[in-house]
Amino acid sequence: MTNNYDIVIAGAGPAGLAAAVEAARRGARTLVVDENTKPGGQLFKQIHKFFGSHEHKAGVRGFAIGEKLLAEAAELGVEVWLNSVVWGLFANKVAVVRGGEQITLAAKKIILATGASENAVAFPGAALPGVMGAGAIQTMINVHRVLPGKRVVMLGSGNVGLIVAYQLLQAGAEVVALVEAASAIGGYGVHAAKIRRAGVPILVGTTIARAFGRGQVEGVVLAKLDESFQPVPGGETTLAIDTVGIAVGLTPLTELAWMAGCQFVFSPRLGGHVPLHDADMETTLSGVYVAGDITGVEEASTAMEEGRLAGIAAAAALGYGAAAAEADKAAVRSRMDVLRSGPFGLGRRTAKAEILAQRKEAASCRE
Amino acid sequence: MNKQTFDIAVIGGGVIGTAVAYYAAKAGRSVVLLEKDHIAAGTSGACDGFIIMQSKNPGPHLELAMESAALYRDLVAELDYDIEYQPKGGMIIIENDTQAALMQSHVAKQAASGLKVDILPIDEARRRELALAPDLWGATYCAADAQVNPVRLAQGFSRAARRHGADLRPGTAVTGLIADRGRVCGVTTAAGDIYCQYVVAAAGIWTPGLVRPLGLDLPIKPRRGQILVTEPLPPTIRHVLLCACYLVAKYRPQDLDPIERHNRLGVGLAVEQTADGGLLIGSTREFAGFDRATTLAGLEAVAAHARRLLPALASVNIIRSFAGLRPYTPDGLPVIGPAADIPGLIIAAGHEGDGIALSPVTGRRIADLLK
Amino acid sequence: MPGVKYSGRLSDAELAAVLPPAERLAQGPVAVIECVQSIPCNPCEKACPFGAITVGDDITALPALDRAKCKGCGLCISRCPGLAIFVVDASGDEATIMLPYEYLPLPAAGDVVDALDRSGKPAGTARVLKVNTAAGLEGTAVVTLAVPRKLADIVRNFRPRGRDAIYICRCNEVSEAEIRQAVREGARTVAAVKLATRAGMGLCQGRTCRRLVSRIIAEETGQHPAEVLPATARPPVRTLPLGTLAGGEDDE
Ligand SMILES: Cc1cc2nc3c(=O)[nH]c(=O)nc-3n(C[C@H](O)[C@H](O)[C@H](O)COP(=O)(O)OP(=O)(O)OC[C@H]3O[C@@H](n4cnc5c(N)ncnc54)[C@H](O)[C@@H]3O)c2cc1C
Ligand SMILES: Cc1cc2nc3c(=O)[nH]c(=O)nc-3n(C[C@H](O)[C@H](O)[C@H](O)COP(=O)(O)OP(=O)(O)OC[C@H]3O[C@@H](n4cnc5c(N)ncnc54)[C@H](O)[C@@H]3O)c2cc1C
Ligand code: SF4
Ligand code: SF4
Repeated sequence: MTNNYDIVIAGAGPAGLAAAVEAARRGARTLVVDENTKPGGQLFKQIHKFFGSHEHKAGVRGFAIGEKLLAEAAELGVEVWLNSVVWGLFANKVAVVRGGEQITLAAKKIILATGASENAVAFPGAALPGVMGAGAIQTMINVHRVLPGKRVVMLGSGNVGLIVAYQLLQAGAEVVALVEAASAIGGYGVHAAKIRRAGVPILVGTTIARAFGRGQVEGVVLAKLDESFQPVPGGETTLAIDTVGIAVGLTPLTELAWMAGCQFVFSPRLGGHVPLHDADMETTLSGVYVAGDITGVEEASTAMEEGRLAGIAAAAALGYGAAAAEADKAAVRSRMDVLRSGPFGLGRRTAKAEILAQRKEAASCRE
Repeated sequence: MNKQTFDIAVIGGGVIGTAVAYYAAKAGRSVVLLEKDHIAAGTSGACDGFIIMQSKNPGPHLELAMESAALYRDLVAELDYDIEYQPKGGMIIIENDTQAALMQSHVAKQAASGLKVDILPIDEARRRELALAPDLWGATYCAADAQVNPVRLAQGFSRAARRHGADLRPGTAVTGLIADRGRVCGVTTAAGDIYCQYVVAAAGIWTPGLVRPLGLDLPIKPRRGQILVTEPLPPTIRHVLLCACYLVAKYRPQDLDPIERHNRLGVGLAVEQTADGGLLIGSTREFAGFDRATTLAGLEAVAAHARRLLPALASVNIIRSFAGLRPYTPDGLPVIGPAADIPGLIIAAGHEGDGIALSPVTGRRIADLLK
Repeated sequence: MPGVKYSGRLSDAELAAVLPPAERLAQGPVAVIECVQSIPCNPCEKACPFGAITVGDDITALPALDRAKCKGCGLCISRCPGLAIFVVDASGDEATIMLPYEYLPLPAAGDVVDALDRSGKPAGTARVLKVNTAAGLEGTAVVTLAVPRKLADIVRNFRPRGRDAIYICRCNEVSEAEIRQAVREGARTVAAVKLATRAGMGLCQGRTCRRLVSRIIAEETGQHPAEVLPATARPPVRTLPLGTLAGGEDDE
């Protein structure tokens, strides 16, 4: 069975849904495919209120943003296939497994909005049951409403580590400590303050040297680090805990883009190798677009804007809403610049600008 | 750069090149092996590991294979490295009467050449291999068939070669052959020229490109095979399994409808369970140039064929696919020996779908030749 | 009373009948078949590709090992339902013992374990050299231990210690040390490390470990992380059942 769509989008996170909304609004026949039972990507696990401007639904809780986007998409006639996986890209064909059936979709344009996956760490005992990613913890407490354990130590002080530590406290767990190898907290101070005032010690310049336990983690040994990240002799402390949360960053989920043959660029700031794309979010392969965390790990707000950009551009390339497209895209880009400002956003803005510059270079080389 | 001299320079770090390096080094020759990427980066890292006797046509092919099989039994001890050699026996699945007739005459000829192969009706075949579909005709069984891990084989050969003094250089591409008055006497690389008495070209599908500048035209071309990899499973498939249509495609292509996807892609079943429990399920036989991509049609066709013959596998999860490029030759036989009219140059390539099985005998014969 | 019938441990007399003489031990690996009762059983006979083991038509006969023919390949070990066969190599400074092992978790190559004697008492320390879990072994792993030479005739089992290895690839249990070793032996790309160690070949197809693997390669080789490319991405990016794939009818 072959199904024809104007635009097929892989991933129903904020980027994918926003792209679908814009594309469908302009009249493109659009399908979004997501592997989860619920749409929203990372959003459906987020019970906290989001930052950002009002336009980006700031102050609204993450899962609610997802629901709104979904309602909008439904109204515009976007098809959303859940529990469905894009398992391969073969030229312009998208191979999907849905309900135990292999379906080949013919798509005029493809938008990859597959998000990012959590990084792992390696220390002795890291493979013990009870050592888990922050994302898995979030799914347990916010989606399934079960506590992973009673006494938790969290590794990583980026926003994800801070937020998940907070949500653990809300859910009734004791967070024994949050540890961070760097000499300063990575995420927003306000998030850190929330957990600090709940009595959680935030130990910077510290890492987990090992975890131990029989069949299940029972404790960790923390080690103090010097400026060159070497353990300080005698700086070890042992904590009795039953859960270790790992929040050491995300890596863009890019296999589909590699498989399709997109060119990549390395950006440490954005989480590793990311697909090169132009100001319309189109990759080096004509007709294949990217948006959201797959292009570099950022936030839901920027993911939505990138999704909009990709949705507008892909639709316009097919002749839908082409007249107003340039103005629409300009509006999105200026909102995106606002998001990528300040001490936290500027680094990302520079990194993104570099990608666009490199994309131009790649394009001129080919000509 | 100082002048580097060896008895033998081997080009290619696949099973063939590493086997040559091993046997030659063991025989006391000074050997350098040049590999542009890493050991088993080419076809030997993207294939099955059948050491199968009963698929070979009686004659020189089967003789080579049987000589190789004997060498394998010694290698297990010699290499001192776990190559995951498993003498588990092999079966060729027979679907219908037409295939049965072909297999019966094949088996009779093999018996005359000293290879014992049994033909089993389906009930007996299923008793030995539970996953077979009940509506098949049956299967052949040959106890001499075995399995090995090709990557570990190449690594085992190269480690053992190094122990015997061979100089292995991964990350070193040969950029040209050096000839002096018509005799090949070395190779050029980015890291300098290397001189030797003999150059052994064991670069699989890349061999023709290497020797063409000397005016030698080898009829080797890449023939792609696509393979599915499953999740690790408890013991599920006990033998190495082929199907008779693989042999029909190989020996009687005229019997097949050339339009059908299955035939056009040259699908033939090849299933083995690897040491870590995953199944390798292959494969296609297509001419697609040097393209190592897997295709949707190819993967689907392989899966469909496997499900038909082994319905029990329908619920097994596929975790990956890959494709390898067999070094095909028109007559189905490898090119092993001195290049005609080019002294100093030895060819060891073109093993198509048998390079794993034939690597020991190839390495051994080349080493004997260069004594 | 001593003897396998009373204590499960072979008596000195029983052992004397099966242990190879010192000269043979010094020549290289050889099987030690600690099967001393006439039970109806003969898989070992068929297991040996060199015909070194004979039980004969009376299958209750004791297996007779022709030590001249035995190459010490160890193929018989997993076939013995009695787990009575070991392969001992005392030709080097250190002895190695291949033994059958059916407990989980399996050790990994490189682990240091407590070596046990025939009555399960600690006899010293052993290093795991190899763990063979080939499918054909039907669930019996064959583990090769390195032990001090004087323990060659003593050690017949082992007990894992609390593991301290750092696992990078969880699916295939590949440790950091193994990956560093592979890089030092010339694997300079993620693809090469994968072939050499199987890191990233497991169920998750490297989603968990690829970043750590890249970092180790960059550290070991001094390459910039930008140069360390991931291994080739291949479909499927998530697992799918064979039967589902088989239903597709793409044709081009
Ligand atoms: C704990 C935490 C707190 C956060 N807090 C904030 C915040 O306060 N403010 C903010 O702006 N951002 C926040 N973020 C970040 C934000 O959630 C992400 O940046 C955003 O979700 C990225 O959107 P996306 O659409 O690119 O990817 P995702 O939301 O990750 O969505 C991608 C979707 O694609 C699916 N998918 C992937 N591959 C396939 C495939 N092959 N087939 C089918 N489906 C596939 C995935 O399962 C997923 O559902 C937070 C993130 C986390 C983890
Ligand atoms: C799908 C499939 C299944 C198969 N199944 C089996 C099986 O079950 N049993 C069996 O016996 N055989 C099987 N084969 C066949 C077997 O894999 C090949 O015959 C064998 O691997 C060929 O080995 P090789 O060493 O000649 O080539 P390769 O493994 O390709 O080695 C050649 C090497 O040369 C290197 N090289 C190339 N050019 C240069 C240069 N200029 N300088 C330096 N190095 C260079 C390459 O990088 C490569 O590593 C199968 C093949 C495929 C594709
Ligand atoms: S170790 Fe190998 S050679 Fe020795 S008896 Fe056992 S199977 Fe035979
Ligand atoms: S298989 Fe084992 S138990 Fe049986 S006879 Fe042989 S050695 Fe004894």
